[in-house]
Amino acid sequence: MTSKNLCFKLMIEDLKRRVWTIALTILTMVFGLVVPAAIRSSSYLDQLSWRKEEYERVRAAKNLVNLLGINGAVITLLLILAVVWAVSGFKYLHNSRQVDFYHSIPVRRHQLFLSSYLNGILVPAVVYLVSQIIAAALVLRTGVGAEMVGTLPWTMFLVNMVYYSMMYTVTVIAMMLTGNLIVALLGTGVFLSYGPAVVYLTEGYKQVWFRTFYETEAQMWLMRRNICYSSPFANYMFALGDFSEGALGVRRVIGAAAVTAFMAVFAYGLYRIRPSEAAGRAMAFKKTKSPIKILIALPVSVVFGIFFYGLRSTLTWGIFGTVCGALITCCLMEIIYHFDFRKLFANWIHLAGCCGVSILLFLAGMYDWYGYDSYLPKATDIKSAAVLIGYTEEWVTYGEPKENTDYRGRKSYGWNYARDTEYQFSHMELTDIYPVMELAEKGIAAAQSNDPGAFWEVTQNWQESQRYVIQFRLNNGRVVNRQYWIPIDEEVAALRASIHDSKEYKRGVYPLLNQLPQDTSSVYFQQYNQVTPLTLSTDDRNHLLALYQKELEELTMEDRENSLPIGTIQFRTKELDQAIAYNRELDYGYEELEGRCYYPVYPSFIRTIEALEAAGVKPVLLEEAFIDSIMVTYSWKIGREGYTEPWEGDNIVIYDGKYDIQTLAPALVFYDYYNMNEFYDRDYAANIDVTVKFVPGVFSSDKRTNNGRFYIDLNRLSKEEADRLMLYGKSYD
Amino acid sequence: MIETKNLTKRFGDIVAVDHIDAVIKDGSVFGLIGTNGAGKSTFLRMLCGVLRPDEGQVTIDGREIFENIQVKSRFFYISDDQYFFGNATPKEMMQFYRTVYPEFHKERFHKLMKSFDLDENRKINTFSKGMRKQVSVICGVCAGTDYLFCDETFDGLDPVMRQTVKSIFVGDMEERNLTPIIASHNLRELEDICDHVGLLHKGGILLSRELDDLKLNIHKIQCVLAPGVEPEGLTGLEIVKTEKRGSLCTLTVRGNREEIQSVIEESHPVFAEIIPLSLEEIFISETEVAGYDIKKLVL
Repeated sequence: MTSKNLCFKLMIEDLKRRVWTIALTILTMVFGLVVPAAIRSSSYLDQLSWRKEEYERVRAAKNLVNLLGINGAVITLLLILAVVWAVSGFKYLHNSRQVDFYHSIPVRRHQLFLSSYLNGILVPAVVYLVSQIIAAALVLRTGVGAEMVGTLPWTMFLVNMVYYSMMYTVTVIAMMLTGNLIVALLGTGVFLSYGPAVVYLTEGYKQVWFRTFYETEAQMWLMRRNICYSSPFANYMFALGDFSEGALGVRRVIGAAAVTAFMAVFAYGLYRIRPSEAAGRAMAFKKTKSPIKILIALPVSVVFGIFFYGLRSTLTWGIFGTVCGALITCCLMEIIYHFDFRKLFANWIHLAGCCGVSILLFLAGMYDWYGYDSYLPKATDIKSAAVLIGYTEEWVTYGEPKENTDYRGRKSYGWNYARDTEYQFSHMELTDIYPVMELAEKGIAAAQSNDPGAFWEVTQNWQESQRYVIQFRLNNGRVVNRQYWIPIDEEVAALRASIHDSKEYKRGVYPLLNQLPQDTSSVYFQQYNQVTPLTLSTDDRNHLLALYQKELEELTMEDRENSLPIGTIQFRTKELDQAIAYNRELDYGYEELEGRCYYPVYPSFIRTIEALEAAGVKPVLLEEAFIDSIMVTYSWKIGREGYTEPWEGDNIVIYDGKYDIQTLAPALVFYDYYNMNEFYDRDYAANIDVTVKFVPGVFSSDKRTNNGRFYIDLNRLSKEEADRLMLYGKSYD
Repeated sequence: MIETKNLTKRFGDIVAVDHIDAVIKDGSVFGLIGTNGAGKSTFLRMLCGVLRPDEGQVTIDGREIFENIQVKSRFFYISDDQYFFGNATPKEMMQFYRTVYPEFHKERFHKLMKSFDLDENRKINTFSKGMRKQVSVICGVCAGTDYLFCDETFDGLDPVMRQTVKSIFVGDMEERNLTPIIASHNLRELEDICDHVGLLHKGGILLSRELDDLKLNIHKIQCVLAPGVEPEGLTGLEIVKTEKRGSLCTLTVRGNREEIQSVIEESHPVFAEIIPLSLEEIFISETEVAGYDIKKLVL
């Protein structure tokens, strides 16, 4: 008998013994794919009778066709079937009677392996393919055009089957490595989840122990990639994500198929060397026991250590957690390995080793034995640097207009947000690195001055400290990122001012400073929600842009600490103007774009203000005469005991009397201006929301009433008035 | 011919088979005896290629067995607790065996099933233990292999079936030179069929010899010696064991039957008779000489 014939006959014999698995596969595919396709096709036909709009019909058709694409039910069922087929195909390896039977007959082991392995892929593939064909036929029968269905069912079939095979092979490997079904299922779980768990743990470890750790976009992308490639399941999920976005490449699918083929060869290799006497044991290979135990015990003990440290923030509890983690995991693994509870301390050397290494990892993190937090490059090694000062520039808009297509197939423009830190790091080139280094030294000192046990206090007291993210680019091409929480004192304030006042800092933070005149098409000025377009010649526009850019570049920390903007200005790019115009035509989504890229006009921007006035726009300061009424919404108050308590009863008070307006007007700070300048020293009333109703026609292009959201700056209000009006600062919050 | 050289198998710290050298000649019945845990099943599982030896080798006609299909197709292994597919009938098992044993004798299978009064279409899991043994023996003899490895196969068979199976073995030995290798802890059931026996104990082989050689070399004599003659006074006899009940002596003596007979006759006994030794008695004698407390080894 030829080898091929025998293999085929063995496959047939194998299937005879797995009729229940075939039945289960057919059942799941019928109810997971065929029946839903029939129901949704019928529903679609019903919808056609009352959906009259073409876009609605197209949308319904797409929903129907999507059933043949990423179908959550089918994917879940395939994952379950992968485990079921692998277990049913190789469960005989876990039973010594069956092993004796199969391994004594005159059949080579590769034929035994192949017959079971191939059945586990071919049968589900055939059942799934037939189900997919029936489902596609049902969908096409509704009149949905073949062009809409396209190659989706067959592409999805291929993608799902490649990843099904991967999951199936992983389970087969788990079956090979173990001698007991429960242990094999646990092993499968470990194979599918261990990689992402370790990646997340590494991330968590860095976040917890590297106090100055700052994760850049590139590092986050790297972590995402590591998760994607650390587990077959994660890879499958990422592939489905890419598929839904139309970004799944052929190379990726071929890569997954190649990895599956490699794993299949590995599984066969294990099958060949697997001792028959392993049936019934927890682990088939003695040599795998210790590495697997240690690889599981170490991360678990680190997690336990961090968890208990998180509860009490003391060394004792951290060590307790670490030891508990190692102890529980090692003992549990020994119990599983021996199927005997009394064997929990069977390998105390490993237990002691795991405890020791985990404690070392804990202490190394806690006391920065890595030297990570104290690291500062030499000044001579630094090429340039970038500094992000707190969250002070979050008001800046990064990105550009982006063309979108909605479900109706209509084109419109939206905003494609760019990551702020990515922009800032790529555009900021501070060459005067000495203030940066001094700031970093302050940060290191602040990090070191904290008792390790009091680590959490640093982040809890963030309001008293300010966050600084520093990036050093070294001459050797290396990039060092650190994040510091530094208490603000005079020295730090001076260093901060020195960095802030540099042109390089501004160019790194404000995209407007890199905007070219030829890209600029229009200018708008806004005061208290009133937007005024400026009618300017090209030269005047370019002149205004140049003036503003210069004054923004020259904006000092002193200016920001002592003043708030009096208005905001927008230099629209041609691209933005076109996008707004397009959306206006549609009467859709233009307001979102119109509000982008406004920059503050400070009182110190004298030449800009002059140019604005020359263009017919006169920035004015808020006066009581402009205010019709002030609506204050209270959320809490200070009770008799001196503690905050929720506001009860009617919490909206409208102050429209002359005295109240006179009192409150000087303390009003426009919400947008406040957000643009966090350096301005103020104590705003934290227990209220304030809406100012302007006199009709004021800050409005027509006679309509304009409203604006404000804060109340308690520094500009007497204590008596604040108490009378029940306004309390953030210190009570 | 099956030959093992230095064959060793360990399970962790336990040495299940300890450096066994043995030869099993074709056309004879080899009995593998020993107590539970002596290593009989492990020895057989290595013989049939299920287990890979840790040391040494096992060959059939000089060819390694493990993963050698040509060699493996020459034997059929009936384990202590033979596996049958879930819900399978004897007929379905036969169909499977036909796939892997090209020489499987289908007609004989039907004939034997009928003669054993077993329903081919009944699920095996509804059979009694003895009936399942019968099915496995029928499959084994019908496989048409040169060797049949039986692990405690007679355990569970009633005396009639035992004799029937033995007669089938004998018939096949005559017809096609079948070599059954039978492992058992029960010496009595092997006695009338084995040509050659190997005694395993604690993984090692105590002895491996032709049964006839054993029987020819040791004898039991019941006699009433002449007055004044004591067994110790019988010069020229290698007496292994002496039992006395009154004047009746039972002597277990090693040596040639004629020479023993001659020595006894020379002492002019009142009565003397040489009676056959059972296999169990032979082993007790042989192993006591080897210093083993045989009563703990065999039933």
